[in-house]
Amino acid sequence: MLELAAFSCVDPGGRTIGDLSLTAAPGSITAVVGRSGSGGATLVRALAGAMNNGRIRGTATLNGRRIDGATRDELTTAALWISDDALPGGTVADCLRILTGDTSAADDLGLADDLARRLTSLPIDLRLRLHCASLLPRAGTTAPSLILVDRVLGAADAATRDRFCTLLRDRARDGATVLWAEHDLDAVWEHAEIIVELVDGRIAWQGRPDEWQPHSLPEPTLLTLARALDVPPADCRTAEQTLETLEESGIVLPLFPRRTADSAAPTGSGTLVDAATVGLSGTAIEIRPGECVGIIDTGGRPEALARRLISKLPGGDVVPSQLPGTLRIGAAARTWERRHDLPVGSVLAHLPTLRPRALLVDLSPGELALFRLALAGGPTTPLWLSHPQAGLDPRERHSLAEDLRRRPAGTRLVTSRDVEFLVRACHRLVVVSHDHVIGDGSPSAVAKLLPTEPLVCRAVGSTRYLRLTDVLATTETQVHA
Amino acid sequence: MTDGHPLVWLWLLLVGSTISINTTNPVLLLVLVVALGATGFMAGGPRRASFVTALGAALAAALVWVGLTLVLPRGSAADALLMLPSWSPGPGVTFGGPLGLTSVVGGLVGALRAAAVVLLFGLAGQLVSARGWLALSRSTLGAGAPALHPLACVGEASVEALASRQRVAQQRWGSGAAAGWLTSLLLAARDIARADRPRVAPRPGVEIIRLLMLLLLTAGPVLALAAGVLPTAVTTHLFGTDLIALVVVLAVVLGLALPGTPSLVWQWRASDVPQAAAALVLTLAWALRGPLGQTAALNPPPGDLTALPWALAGAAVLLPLAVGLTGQRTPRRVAAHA
Repeated sequence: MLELAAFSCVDPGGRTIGDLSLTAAPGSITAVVGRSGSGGATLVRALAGAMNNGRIRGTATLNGRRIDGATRDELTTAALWISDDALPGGTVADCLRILTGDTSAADDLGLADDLARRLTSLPIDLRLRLHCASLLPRAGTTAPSLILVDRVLGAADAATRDRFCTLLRDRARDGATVLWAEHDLDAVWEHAEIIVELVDGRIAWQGRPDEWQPHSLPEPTLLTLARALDVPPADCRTAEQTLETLEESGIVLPLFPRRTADSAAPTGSGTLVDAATVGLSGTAIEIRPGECVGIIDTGGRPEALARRLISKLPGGDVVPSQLPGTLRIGAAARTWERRHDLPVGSVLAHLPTLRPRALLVDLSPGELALFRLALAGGPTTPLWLSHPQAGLDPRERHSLAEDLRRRPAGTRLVTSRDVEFLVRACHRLVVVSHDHVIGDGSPSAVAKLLPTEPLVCRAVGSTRYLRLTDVLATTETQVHA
Repeated sequence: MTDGHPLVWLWLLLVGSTISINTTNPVLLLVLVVALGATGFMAGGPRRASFVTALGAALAAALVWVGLTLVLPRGSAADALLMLPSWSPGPGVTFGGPLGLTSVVGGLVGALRAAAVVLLFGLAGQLVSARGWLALSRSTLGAGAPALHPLACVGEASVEALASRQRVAQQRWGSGAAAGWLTSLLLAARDIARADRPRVAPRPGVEIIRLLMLLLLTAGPVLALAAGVLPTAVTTHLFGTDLIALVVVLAVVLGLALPGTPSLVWQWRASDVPQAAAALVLTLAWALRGPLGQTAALNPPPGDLTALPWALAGAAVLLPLAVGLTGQRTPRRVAAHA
């Protein structure tokens, strides 16, 4: 059991959490949620002994033993810290050997082709597979009694996220206490027994997920769905449960959803890209000005196609998912402004807390995500955004999807493993399989071709309802009717 | 790639540095530098950037020595090989002037010596993973290990720093937007050390014993020397670097004897044997330089290029053979991810 009493700390970056008192029971998953900078990651780091030169007050005990102020070395057998910063080893193979004893799990984890790759160059959507390796049971070693997870789901595909959550649930069932800081509210909704919401470093709410009234965050999708359809939230913890609950309650949604006065996809002629010139077979792909196009490859990775496509668009550029950590923030912002004829200072204008002389490596994942967002927001020239939602908190993610859909500064190509995000953010999705275009149209038009069905589709049993807004608009119409 | 064992490479580092520092034979030093260079090329591997960094640093160190030799030459006008332009800013201080044979040989020896030591460190970072060095530093220094973290991780940090620079160039940020090479190296070393974790938690009692042992080993010889109680055999036959090497070896051995040594340090592979054998031959060649009649050849008169301590030279050549014969090729290209 993990018990915190008046626990507070200040990390070297000045981020603080104050006077937290909570209890996380063994065999359960306690999720810590909040806006970027609210203190979830700081809390996890402090408990993992990974806060270098931070100041800690109050007490934290694990099964009766004080762990506040303990170093990582001292906690090495008692606590498992799962974070991108905690992945050991130089290459993927080294990391797997340290985590599991050998590399035999590589095939099962889908990392067999990446064994020689250095961790720092591993695509961000594949890192969660290494975190899955951390949770695999290992013969001959004592399982840790505390598992601390620091926002790892961000960029991964749905199958890997499900697998990680299942492994985490299994470790909890084996008796571990799990404290999980996370931005993916839908995953937290499905798997956590207790939710703790932090606002400005303090607990704003803690309790059961089905009783949660968020203070600073949007509700998880299924919670909103349950409340909108007036069914018990506790019976809607998963998409399958929700569907069953709706069926038992006799709630049937109309065949066709009422579409909201949504932003229509830009019309007019754009740049026609011959499929063969980007290594595809099939019809040409037209990219219209001001359009946000999602690229999905059901047979592999879409990044290669996105790179080829953006090179065909006049002035096309990239906001990479991994920026070099040795970049100085101010110098990088100025380079970007010069490259895209943006006003001087426009990139950092909305990020007053970032110091221009600081290096990107010193930023928190949330700050880094906001910096990438700032780069993506200005240029009117076509941009390819790779995993733009990674590292953003739920409200920022919603806001980004909204901006891309309603107010893009220019043409945007988006690649991401988060199908929910693509469906919300993109006017159009181009679906490719084995170098062949199999679908090109609005998210509704290509819904059946998506690699995973969006959560709302699975929950209501219809691919016509892609987004929560589809359900809410339809039910509102029904009420008013 | 041939992955080396941290104990074997610490051994090679100590004996190689001792030989380099205590000889003024330019031919031997040249043989050593060439052998170390060949070892780095033959080893390859994912940490070859460490060796490339070391090559650059070795060249820079050598150039510094060349510069110093030209700026502050020694010699008289009578036996000058070359008369360099001179400048005297004040009485007793002269830059440039006659460049004599002693000066040239001294500069060459200094350059080769610096290159050899730097290459040794580069090879140590190339052939042994950061994890291996961190495990060894933990078992020797315990809670004081963080002081050595930058050095322990410099091999892998070179790889990360190089990758970061390549990414800066690929993404067209311009080199002016990124931190300098040394900053990149130190940041990468910091992150590598932070991500490493021991399998066993340290025990307070053991850490205290380790600290006392280290204090004794470092202060003891110095105090004994100052008090004049060291045996004559030690003070006459051992160089200062030999003593330092012995202290380091003792510290490591005693540290390993204490409980809590990371298991990585005890993991031996077949490929470690040839490298350990090369280290042993080099050590024996050094230790037996007297009985083998090699002592004079270690410090020949300036200009005498015929004297060569053949045992040491031969032992140095064994190292690239040991690494080359036991290496496994790893593919340079990884699966291309967009």
